[in-house]
Amino acid sequence: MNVEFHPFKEHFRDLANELFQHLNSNEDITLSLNGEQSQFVRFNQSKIRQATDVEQWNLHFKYQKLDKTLSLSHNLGLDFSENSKKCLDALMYAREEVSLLPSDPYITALQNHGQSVECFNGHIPTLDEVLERSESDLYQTDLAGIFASGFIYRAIINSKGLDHWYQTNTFSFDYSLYHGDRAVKGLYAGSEWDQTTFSNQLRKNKDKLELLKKPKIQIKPGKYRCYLGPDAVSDIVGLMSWGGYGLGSFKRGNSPLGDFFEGKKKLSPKFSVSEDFSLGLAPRFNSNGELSEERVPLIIQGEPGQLLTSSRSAIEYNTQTNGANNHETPRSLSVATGQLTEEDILQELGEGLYLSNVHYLNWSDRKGGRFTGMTRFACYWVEDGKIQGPIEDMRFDETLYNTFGEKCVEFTNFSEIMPEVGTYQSRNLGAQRAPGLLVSEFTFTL
Amino acid sequence: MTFDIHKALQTLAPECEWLGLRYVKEKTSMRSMRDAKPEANSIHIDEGVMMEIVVDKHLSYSATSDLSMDGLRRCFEKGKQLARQSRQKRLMDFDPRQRGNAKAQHIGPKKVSLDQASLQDIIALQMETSDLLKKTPNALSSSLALWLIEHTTHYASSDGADILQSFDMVSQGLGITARKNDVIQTRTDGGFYARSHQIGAEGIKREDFLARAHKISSEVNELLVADECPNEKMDLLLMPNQMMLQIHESIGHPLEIDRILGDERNYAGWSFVKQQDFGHLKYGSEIMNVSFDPHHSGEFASYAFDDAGQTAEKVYLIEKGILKAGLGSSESQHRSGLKGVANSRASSWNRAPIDRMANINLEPGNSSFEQMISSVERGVLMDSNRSWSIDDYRNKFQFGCEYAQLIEDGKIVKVLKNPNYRGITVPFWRSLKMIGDQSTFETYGTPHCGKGEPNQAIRVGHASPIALFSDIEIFGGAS
Repeated sequence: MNVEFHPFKEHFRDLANELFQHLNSNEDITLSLNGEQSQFVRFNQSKIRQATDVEQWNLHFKYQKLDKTLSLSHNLGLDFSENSKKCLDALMYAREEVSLLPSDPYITALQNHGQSVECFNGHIPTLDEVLERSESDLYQTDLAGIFASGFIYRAIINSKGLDHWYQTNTFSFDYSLYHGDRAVKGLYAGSEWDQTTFSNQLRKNKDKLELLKKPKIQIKPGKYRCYLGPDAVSDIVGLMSWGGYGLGSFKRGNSPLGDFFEGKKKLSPKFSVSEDFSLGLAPRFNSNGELSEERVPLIIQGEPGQLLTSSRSAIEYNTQTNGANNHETPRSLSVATGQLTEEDILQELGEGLYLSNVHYLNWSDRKGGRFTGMTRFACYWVEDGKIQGPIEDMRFDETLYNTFGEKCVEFTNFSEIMPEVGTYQSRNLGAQRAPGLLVSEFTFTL
Repeated sequence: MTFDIHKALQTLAPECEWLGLRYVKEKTSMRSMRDAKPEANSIHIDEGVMMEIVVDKHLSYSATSDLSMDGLRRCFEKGKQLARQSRQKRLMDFDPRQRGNAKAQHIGPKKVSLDQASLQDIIALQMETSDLLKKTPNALSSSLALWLIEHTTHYASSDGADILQSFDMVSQGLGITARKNDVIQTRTDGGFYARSHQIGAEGIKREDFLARAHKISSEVNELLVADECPNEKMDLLLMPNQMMLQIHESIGHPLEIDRILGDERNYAGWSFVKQQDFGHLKYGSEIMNVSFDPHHSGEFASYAFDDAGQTAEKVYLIEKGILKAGLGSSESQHRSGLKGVANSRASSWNRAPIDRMANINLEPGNSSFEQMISSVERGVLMDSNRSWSIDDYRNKFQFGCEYAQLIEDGKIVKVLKNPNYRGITVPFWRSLKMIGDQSTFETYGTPHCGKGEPNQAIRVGHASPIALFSDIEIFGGAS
């Protein structure tokens, strides 16, 4: 396979080498690059609402001198002499400002964490191809969503010799199919567009939409047996990432899993969560260039595993880092599967609610691990193991200790990978993998 | 290299039907401390240009951080190609009448430019405040942050628009988490970045920082020994820093016309408001008046022109409880036939503008704080948002606050912890029974309103008096 690197790869290294030559013996620098050449095509009513091409390069420059540090960042173009000037200006500025800053006792001395090059040059379709291929499938549907595609680049070099380059070429088609106010959510993402796979997914989602055309059923607030689909489980474990798995958050009293990691509350032995880079959808190196183990167990069969620990936290709390990022949030979270087969879901649910998706989760009591949110998209009422019809939107309010603890019945024996499709500032990397979950009781309030 | 927007326009405009250029440069200095030690000192400069290119009446967008002439040319050609590829499937035609063509300059309110702020003074202030916070009894952790933002937007079009706007902005955050036995509570200064304003370096005041630090240091300890918020239906008195969130989620978002038109259905959601509701829907009680006000001095999302070059003016969205106008740009007004506002806004140069809130305010009423408290037989006062969740049609919401007080027989009797309330938008606003007067009116903002595909986080401002609602479902934390 021919590997094609962007010219920025060599330029980035040249920039770094030039800059490092100007350093004094007590100075260090880390340079990070975040680049993308992306196309965003937004749809409403199966037509193009907005199409945007974005090329952006952002250089992050972290200067350290003894126990002081300053971060600077700036957008770059492809005028390499101009970029070189910006870097040298940044060095001059940093030297001046750092002298005014207070000492930082938790500063991490730079190290050479090695070198790596990862390049995933997929074959992504052009917009013409996507429109041509999806036209017949989308006929007579009302689709809203976004097709995002193109190259993403991440790189980091430091003055101790660390050197990582990661580039990938991917697409994601994140969409909803509507019939009136009923909708089904779909996501097709990867690095190779397979028309058969896409068409099959779309057909399945259209079938789901047919089910949603039945009259809506109004559910009264109360406690119901409930099946949470992989998307819903992924959203809940994603909410737990807001400080749930990090050492710093735990130590500072902000973890929703604080009682669990202190041994005061239990989770189900069926519940295991890990940071798992074998998914291959996020670089193993963090923003400091530090490498994580391929798999970091966070919750092991309902018992505490490791807390995500950044190198900064490791110094502050006198422990070892496990390559976590500065925010100590997972980058590639995976929930273990269980025994429940797809064919048995409805039968085992019996009577209750089938929730494909949930929406807008937040903590109603972070310390108590209680969260709230809404049902969204394909959610049904089930009786005698059969879908009776879609439900009116319902608000739930439940604790994670019930959901993944005493009310946890069984996880499915399959899981789904949800690639990160967030695009705040730039296209994000990362993914989560989660199975579905049957719970004996879930509380609906409004 | 200095970007010359006029030269770029002159070079590229003849090669398409219509061209708009929006250059943005924003410098954000972030200074934060945790437990009296430096947490982050960073300076981020975001700079680039968005091109809006019309081919065969179809508008496409192309953005680049490469401001060399080669970079601009490449960006332009990619945008033209995208317009050609997407025009057959376009949702609507571009109409240049949806764009303004003013020539103007506007500078936001400031007495001392942020580029003149003394770093030594800022660090000294942070050290002093951090030391004070750290000494809080039972403190687990404390934090403090300042964002200093210097923003410039230059919009020019082949129609002759040439609008330069610049703003200095300051976001301030203070927070402390304390623990006593198994009780852990966090108190911030009205929400961590609620104090977000358009202002210069004069907005960073030592005495204000210290006073606020004293206040939250005391209140977090009140929370550690407070009773749990009770579970019952009763009156709810919301302070302006929580009204910010209430207005934002249950008025601002549902009134965005692009949401009503379905653009956001795959992400942020749709709206319970229908096009035919404007002019008719009784959104709230008769004392409710809500405005889009881009000229409220110092409010976070003030401006003279939006990103479509339209002149921004104050518009009443809700008058005497009746829905009058939506939050729709000239483009959305054209699509929907509805009355709107100048709110075509992008989070930065790398995103296309969409309908955003900007400043949405509840107008003051005529009740004093004391009158409102004394009118309550049994109720809860809630202060500072800490949790927010609402459905995709903006109906069923549940919000939580940091700090509450129980009101009985017209008097505040004690502090409560873990307060939450839930409701449905229209019945909730119809239960609004008293609005505070000008003396209770406060202005807040947030840097983090998320919406759009691709995603955009944008600044919004909300000013509000205290407001009293009747018969609301209120409840406490988990047990």
